[in-house]
Amino acid sequence: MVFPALAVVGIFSLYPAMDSFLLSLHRIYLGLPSLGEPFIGLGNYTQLFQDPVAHQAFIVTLGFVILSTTFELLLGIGIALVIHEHFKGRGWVRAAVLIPWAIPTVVASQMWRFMLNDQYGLVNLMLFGDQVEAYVPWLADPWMAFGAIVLADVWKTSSFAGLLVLAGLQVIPDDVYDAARIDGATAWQRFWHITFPLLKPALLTALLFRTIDAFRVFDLVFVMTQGGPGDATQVIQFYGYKTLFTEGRVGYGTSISVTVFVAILILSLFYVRTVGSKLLEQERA
Amino acid sequence: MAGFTLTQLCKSFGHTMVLNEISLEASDGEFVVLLGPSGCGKSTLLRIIAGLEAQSSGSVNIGNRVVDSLPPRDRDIAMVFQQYALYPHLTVRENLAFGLKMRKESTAVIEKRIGDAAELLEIHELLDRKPKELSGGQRQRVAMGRAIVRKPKLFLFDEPLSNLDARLRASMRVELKKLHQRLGVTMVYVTHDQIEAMTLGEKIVVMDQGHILQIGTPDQIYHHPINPFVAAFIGNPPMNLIEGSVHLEGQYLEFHAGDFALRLETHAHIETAIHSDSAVLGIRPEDIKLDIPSEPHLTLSGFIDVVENLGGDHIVYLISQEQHLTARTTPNSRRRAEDPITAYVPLQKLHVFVNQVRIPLELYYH
Ligand SMILES: Nc1ncnc2c1ncn2[C@@H]1O[C@H](COP(=O)(O)OP(=O)(O)OP(=O)(O)O)[C@@H](O)[C@H]1O
Ligand SMILES: [Mg+2]
Repeated sequence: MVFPALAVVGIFSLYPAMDSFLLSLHRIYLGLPSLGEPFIGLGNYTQLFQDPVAHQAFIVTLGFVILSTTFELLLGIGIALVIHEHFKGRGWVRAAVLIPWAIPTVVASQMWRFMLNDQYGLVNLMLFGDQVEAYVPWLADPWMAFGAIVLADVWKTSSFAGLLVLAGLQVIPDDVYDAARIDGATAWQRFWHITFPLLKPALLTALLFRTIDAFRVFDLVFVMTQGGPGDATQVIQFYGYKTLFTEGRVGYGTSISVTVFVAILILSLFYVRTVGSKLLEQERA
Repeated sequence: MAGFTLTQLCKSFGHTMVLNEISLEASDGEFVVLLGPSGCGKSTLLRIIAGLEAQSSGSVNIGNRVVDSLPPRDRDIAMVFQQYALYPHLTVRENLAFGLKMRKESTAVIEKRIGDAAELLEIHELLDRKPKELSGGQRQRVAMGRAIVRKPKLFLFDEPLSNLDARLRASMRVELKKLHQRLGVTMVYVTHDQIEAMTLGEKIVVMDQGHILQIGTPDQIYHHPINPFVAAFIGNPPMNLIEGSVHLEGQYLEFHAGDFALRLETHAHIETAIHSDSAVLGIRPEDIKLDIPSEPHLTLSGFIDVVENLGGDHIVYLISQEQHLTARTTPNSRRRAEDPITAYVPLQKLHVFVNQVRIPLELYYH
């Protein structure tokens, strides 16, 4: 019974990964087939580690990961605390909160691009009304553009983080809170001394999902900024895409993808090892 | 002084009335047991006393202070929950310290109180463990420890022993009694176990469907149950209850239930005749004697249905005049099913309820 599963994994994950890795060991220019496809060993990788554009892309990605994950977790906790309460219409609110998450990223990105448009964008209209001369070309400014992709990502995925946190909240028994109230804990103390520590496993799970996901960000950037202005929002995946598909440097582009893949693999293993073991330990409580 | 008084407490959740005009008084140091079937509102009442739930109307007074507008933290109470409700991420020591820390007690005081409680409950070696590393009985001790260290005026227990196995429950029951004797603090104890109620309570409050049916000492509740419900709820095996009609007139009491007929001559003279078709005759199993008693008695003849051997006791199920009766007697190996049997019930042990209310028959025999 294990064999079919192994076969599926082999065909659909292992083979493409191995093939990509092999590709990344060659120099391939799509536009110049006359150069052939010479094997250059780890040449693409040594080049990548010295490539200033790649460094810049890495820093942008890291900034994006840190900022978006932080905001998403904070907002997620807030959302979870609200929709955990009993109130009329809670079911509707829970459903509504999930809408941004349910919208495909490409659609959501396009929506944000329209909203931030410098001439007919909703954001400018709401801020400045008919003072057209005050309209801001948000996505033309490096910092604003970066802020915009973070904002779009936070808007879209906070509710998912919230859902994970909510699952964590729901396993905390009510009578623990009753006991804490009788023990004299104020609402803030109950959150800080009871909810927060007991929520740690859920928060770590959310953190894991969100960092890994944020690390792979591509479609937001592709739709909203194309990595611009300049290289201000060029995240690593987008850089890889660009080298591969617009510049046709198949070997080099693939080496970027493989590097991202390995980085995420290491990150996941790290989480599962350190955080994950603690997480499982806590859940057995 | 920390007795408490409940005045006409009512509680509704939406349109359902869960507590109805609950009034109750307890003196300082008294052990009060709230007893009733599942869903009768015991926990809700306890939570209202604790301040975890707000009453719809009525008032709670603890230690001569109206606490209706005070949150739980200011009521000077401690509560032990059915599921223990220990903080799962904290060690036993931290669990005990939690309430004291929230009240900003000094470290020295906290250490001292934890030491005292640990000694009292013999949980010293558990102090550095997490709740999940404890057995049910140990968790229960820790939960009590968490209540004790706070030195509250009033202890509230919500079925604290119901998750333990029978043997442990019995031993914890005794420990709880000792604890009460040692601390001398007022305690309110919720249970649906009549044995716990009888053994622990100084005052038993029998509840059903949000009403208080009877308040009394264990002996009063046992010997003078106010209605058939209370009579059947207390005692094991439960009291024999025979439904029929009754006629009281002059010096005579007549009871009929099908073929079962009973005519008693009472000492008192009843001026106004009482007649009811909704009467219940109650006989406790241990009041059915198989040897002729010296006092005035009622004689029942019939045959044995089943005999259960409990070791120290025999439970004899007998049928007399088509009525199934349960008797609790001393063992006798010669009894067999189908054997004829004659049983006797001392007259002053009979309970008669007319229209759901006890007729104080004992008055007629003393
Ligand atoms: N928060 C609530 N909302 C609505 N109804 C409730 C709520 N809490 C309790 N009830 C109802 O109130 C009634 C009394 O509940 P309560 O928990 O006080 O019973 P109990 O006597 O403690 O029962 P048990 O022995 O099973 O613990 C029940 O019918 C219950 O369904
Ligand atoms: Mg209850």
